[in-house]
Amino acid sequence: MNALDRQKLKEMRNYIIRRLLLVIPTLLIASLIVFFMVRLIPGDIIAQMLQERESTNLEVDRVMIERSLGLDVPVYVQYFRWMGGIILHGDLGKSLWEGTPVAEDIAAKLPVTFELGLFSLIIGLLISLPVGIFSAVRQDTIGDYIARSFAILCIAVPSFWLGIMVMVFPSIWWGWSPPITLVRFAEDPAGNLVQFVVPAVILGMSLAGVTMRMTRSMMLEVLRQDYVRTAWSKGLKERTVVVQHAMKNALIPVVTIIGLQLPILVGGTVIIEKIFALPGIGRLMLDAIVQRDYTIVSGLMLVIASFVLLCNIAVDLTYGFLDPRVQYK
Amino acid sequence: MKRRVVWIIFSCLMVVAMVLASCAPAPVAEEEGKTVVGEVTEKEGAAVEEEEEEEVFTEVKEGPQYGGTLTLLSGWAVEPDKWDPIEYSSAQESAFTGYYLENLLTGDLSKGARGTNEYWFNDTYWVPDQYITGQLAESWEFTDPLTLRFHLRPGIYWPDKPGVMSSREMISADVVFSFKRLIEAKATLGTRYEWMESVSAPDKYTVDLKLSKFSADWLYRMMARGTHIIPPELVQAGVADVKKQVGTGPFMLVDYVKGSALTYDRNPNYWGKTTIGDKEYSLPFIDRLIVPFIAEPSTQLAALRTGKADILGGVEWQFRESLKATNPELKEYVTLAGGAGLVCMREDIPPFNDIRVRKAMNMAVDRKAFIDSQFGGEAVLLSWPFSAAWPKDLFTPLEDYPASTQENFAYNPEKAKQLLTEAGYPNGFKIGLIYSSIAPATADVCSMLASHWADIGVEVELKPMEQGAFVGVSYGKKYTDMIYYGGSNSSPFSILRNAGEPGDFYNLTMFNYPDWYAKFTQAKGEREYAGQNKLLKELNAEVVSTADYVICPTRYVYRYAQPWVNNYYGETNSASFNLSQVMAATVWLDIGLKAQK
Repeated sequence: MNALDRQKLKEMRNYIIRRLLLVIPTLLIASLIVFFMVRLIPGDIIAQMLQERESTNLEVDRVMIERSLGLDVPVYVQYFRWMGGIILHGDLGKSLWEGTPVAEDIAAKLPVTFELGLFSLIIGLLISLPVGIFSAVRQDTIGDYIARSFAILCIAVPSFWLGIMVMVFPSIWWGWSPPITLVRFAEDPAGNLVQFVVPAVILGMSLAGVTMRMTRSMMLEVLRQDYVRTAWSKGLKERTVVVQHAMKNALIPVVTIIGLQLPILVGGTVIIEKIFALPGIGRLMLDAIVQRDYTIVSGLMLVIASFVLLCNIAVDLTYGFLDPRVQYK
Repeated sequence: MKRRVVWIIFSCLMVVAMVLASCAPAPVAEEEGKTVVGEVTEKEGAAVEEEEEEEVFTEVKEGPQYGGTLTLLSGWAVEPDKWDPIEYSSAQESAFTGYYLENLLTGDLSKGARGTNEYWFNDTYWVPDQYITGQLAESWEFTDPLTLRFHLRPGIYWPDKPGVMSSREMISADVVFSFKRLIEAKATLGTRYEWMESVSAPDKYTVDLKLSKFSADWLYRMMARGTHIIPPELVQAGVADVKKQVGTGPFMLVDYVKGSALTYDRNPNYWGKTTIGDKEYSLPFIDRLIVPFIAEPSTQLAALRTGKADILGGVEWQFRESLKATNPELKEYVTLAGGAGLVCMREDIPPFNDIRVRKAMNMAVDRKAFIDSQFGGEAVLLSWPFSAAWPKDLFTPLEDYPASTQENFAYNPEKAKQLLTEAGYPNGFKIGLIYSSIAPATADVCSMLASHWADIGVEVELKPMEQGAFVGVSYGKKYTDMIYYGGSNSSPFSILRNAGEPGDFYNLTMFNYPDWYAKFTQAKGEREYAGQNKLLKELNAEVVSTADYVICPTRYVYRYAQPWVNNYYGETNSASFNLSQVMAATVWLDIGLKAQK
């Protein structure tokens, strides 16, 4: 490794440290916003609990519930207790309805959402990148028209509609439906992958549309550059020109698009989860908001915010890999 | 140029294909709708046998078979929140723990479709007192006005549960332990069991429960949430831990995947038996019970169609024809939905403090059109507060009400306008209608009602609210608008308390009649069943007659079972949210038939 490489490595390391340090105040602000905003939503958890209880004395029971849930202190005290638990013990608190640790609930459901999101992203990329590149290289051919139409279709057709169609019609025509209980990866890896393929393809297609169009657009722009024309005129093979010379530059904005799609790994799959009966955190978040389970909402939002921040850092770092002109100073 | 033309034509073809794919199939010509007034008649309980167009399956084997896995979709999407009976946050928790935990009492299914057919056991919350029998208790009596004595059934055992307990007999000390927890659990149960004072065990199979005051609905409360009997060993090992759960019931909880499913295995030492034909059989028949949590109706139906679900409940009428067409082999059972949609009008403030205005709002609703458009032409006009499926010593059919009450349910916009004029609103008035947006069908119902009221000059502004906000508004009682919510049937006392007790959470009309409340208090203290029901019947009729509510018709919902499911008669529960005895413990599967699917 020469001095220049060592210098670059040192700059990247410092950049990463700076970005990670910036995550702390960002998360702090995010925690304040989430913690207080969810309590501003009309209707509180105590009213919902009283509704379920068949209480014979609402006021007495209200006081008891408040005390048992720790909601009888000012909101700012609740916040400091919650943040104290996170900072000192890594404890995100307990679900107000279930009494179970929030971290446990998230840990139980996050892998499902993550797996679905990851599959969707991979499938989306496997569809969008090759098709986008092909579409650009074969501009204005029948293949290009088909690919562009397919991209529009992917954008226009809502994934929830497609999901319901996939659920309803195969059951009527062919007597097939997806599994209705989760097949754990540890127990049956093949069965687990099969269970996730269909929803992942549906979600992947909805992600692929935008990526495909962006890839095509950027490839067309790059393919018109002088250096690419030079490469063609040197007699290089098409694959060499496209992959080695054009693609890296074309992918920079595409990486930004992909970076914007990464948050679905931790929460953009709620409707598909519901349709395919997958126990992910999308449903957990929805139920927690409806039930006003403040600790789950706050804890989950903090986890999602952390993930999004880390994804942003990772995406920023890939720019340096794709474009050597990018410097981390 | 040529390429552009091809591209345009191709794009147009794609758009046309998408539009065609999105179009719903042509509606089937509808038969004239049936409206069942007042009482439930031909739809009670019995399975509707479907004619098979072709012989798809072989004959069912004679006699019950042991073995197999039953997958049961109740139609709900809720999951258990808590595992400790005294911490149940809703009544539905009993539905999940009731497969392995038992109560002292339960419903007597031999009084239903599998026996004398006196009651159809299709109420989610309540079983009439006369159809209750002992479960862990063989018998009971009052030894003095405030002491209830239970005689336990000998020979019932807790199963072996590693890390929790070794198998031993269930005895009175277990019941005392469980009830003491109820009495002392004020922090979680609040005032719910304040009528219980103390509990003791004179001997190994006898339990004395001392009441602080007599409550006429004690039988219902003895089967409601929190009353499961649990062993002290479970509490010591960690009752809130799902992995530690143990009970005397027909099943044992073996797996819980949060958000996905509960799995129960057969309890090989279960004490329960059933008689089929002249032969007695040990229960349960099935080896395994799986209860998935599926919220999406399309997914539930797909599971039923493909045989992944053996029983599915809570199917709405819109799907009935489609299921008949695609799966004629399914057994269909009819259930009356619990409760009714209610428009609550505050009778303590204008304009609804005048009964003429409330009557006008009722008469303006075209219930026939409502039933035809919302429920496919089949519904019961009046099934709230008391259910039309309840015994006749409680429920009053609409035709037995005075004319002044019956007219509230007849569509008469002219008389409605006249009443408004008499009440001082010749040009109508403006009012809001608050409702929860959690159920999509509610918006359709409220829109329809608003259009009916517009015909008599009442301009209704629809105000949908998110569910949590809606609950908060209901609880706060600061609204001046009307409120729409789905009233349930619950138990007679609970539902009357909700409807008529001042300050109750669900008393959204501010119903406040001192004479009515005095009679209600009298009913709560009435020990004789006949006297109690007479008072309850009167109280129910009086709630209906005040016209505080616009009581919407009650629809039917449907339950389906696969052809290989046997010894199932369409019942919903045998106690408050207790599905165990009905849906799982007594069912047997024709395994060969199921394997053919």
